[in-house]
Amino acid sequence: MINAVLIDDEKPALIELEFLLKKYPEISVTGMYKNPLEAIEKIEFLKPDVVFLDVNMPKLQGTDAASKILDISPDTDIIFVTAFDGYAIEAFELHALDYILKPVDTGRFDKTIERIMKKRCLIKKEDSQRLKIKCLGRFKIGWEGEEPIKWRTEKTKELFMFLITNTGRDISKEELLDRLWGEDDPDKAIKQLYNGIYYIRKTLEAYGIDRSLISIDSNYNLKLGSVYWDIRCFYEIYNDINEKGFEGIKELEALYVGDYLEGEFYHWAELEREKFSKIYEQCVIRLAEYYMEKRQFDKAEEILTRAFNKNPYAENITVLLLRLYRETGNKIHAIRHFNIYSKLIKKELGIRPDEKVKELVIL
Amino acid sequence: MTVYILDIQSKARNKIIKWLSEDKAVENVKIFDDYIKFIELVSKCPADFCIIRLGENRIPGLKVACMVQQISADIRIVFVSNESDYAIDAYEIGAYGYLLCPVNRDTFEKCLGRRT
Repeated sequence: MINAVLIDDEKPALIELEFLLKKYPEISVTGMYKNPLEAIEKIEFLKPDVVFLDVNMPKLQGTDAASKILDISPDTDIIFVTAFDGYAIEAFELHALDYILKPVDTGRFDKTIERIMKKRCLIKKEDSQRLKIKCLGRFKIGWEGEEPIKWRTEKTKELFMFLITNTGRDISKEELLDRLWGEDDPDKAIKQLYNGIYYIRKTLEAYGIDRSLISIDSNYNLKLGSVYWDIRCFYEIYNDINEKGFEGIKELEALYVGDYLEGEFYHWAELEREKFSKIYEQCVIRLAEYYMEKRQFDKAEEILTRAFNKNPYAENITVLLLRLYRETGNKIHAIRHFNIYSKLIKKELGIRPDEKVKELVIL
Repeated sequence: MTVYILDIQSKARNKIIKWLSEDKAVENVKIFDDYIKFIELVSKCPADFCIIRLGENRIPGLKVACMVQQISADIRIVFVSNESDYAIDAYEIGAYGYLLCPVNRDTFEKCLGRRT
């Protein structure tokens, strides 16, 4: 709900304004004043979201009243409602949100309300919600607690994912066309690229994500503002791993909920996928070894099983799991795991387990 | 922050360019006197701020501002003019600021939200 205070020295004007505002259920009038001095006193406590303010008043000029209101309630938006057009420059200097002329045209008033709503909704979002971007596991972008963004086409989504993968880097048009459209007809590809950028911007705009959060410049360089991005978080911890130590490794393991852009099979994403997967594998090994050393076998098994489910081909993980089963004397689990692993690599990769893996089950 | 300026060669334009060049938050400034080229770039790569001249025959400032808004409602439009006559129109369009010439640095910075 948006709280509004109305100030006008003429009662009929106040009543008319109140009547006009009744049409908008999102706006609630919390005070109506003929005397601007009295209004200012009350505003200090009411802290309204918006004040509709007349300019020409005998006790205090509207522009002076606006200055005072902004001093005591800086987050309040001012809308001047006046029969005079000569104060608009001053209104701009005061950062007034709008300036409407009497008699108020209802179409124009709709626009004013739209501006208030837009600004207030954005402020609310900035205050309470955070934009989250997830690249580990299935790709997702959206406001915290809300449905993720739906992209117009798969190609638009792919273009956005490519730009975010290369965030902070200038990318030439040629590189983009080559990496994303490859053998496609160049004219068609260029058109699709331009459309893609256009639709990304439109989609972000439609979800209330402004350019302070995500921007794409003329060099296709995507920049992120204060958003939560799991990759940024991942790097922050990883770069600080010597200081963070074991806790840092645990955090990295928890952040890696799945492969980089899981389920999206783009060639351009393979390097990133491998890079993160390798870091994750190292984390898992260090954690598992630590827990095994401390004889906390349950924890070690949990982490290793999770890692195996994410990437069953990683030999190191299987070796550690089998070592763990051997140390705990759990032969049945060891054989079962070995069979699953051998069957899988034979079927998918056409190879047999290495001798060192076999030895762990036999001994 | 990216700022595009659509203005003919003028004292105000020179001053604005100088102030922007001294603002560390401003990464990219592009200057145009041809409004078609200006719109082309805005549609390809929207700016954070567009500073547009009003009251100059060669630049249909209000029309251009409407086009900018159609491209993206997030772009903040600041008008610069020798006359105050367009201020109501500027509000109609939903302009973010209006700089009346001669512009001074304080007003300019306040207008762009660089100073409170």
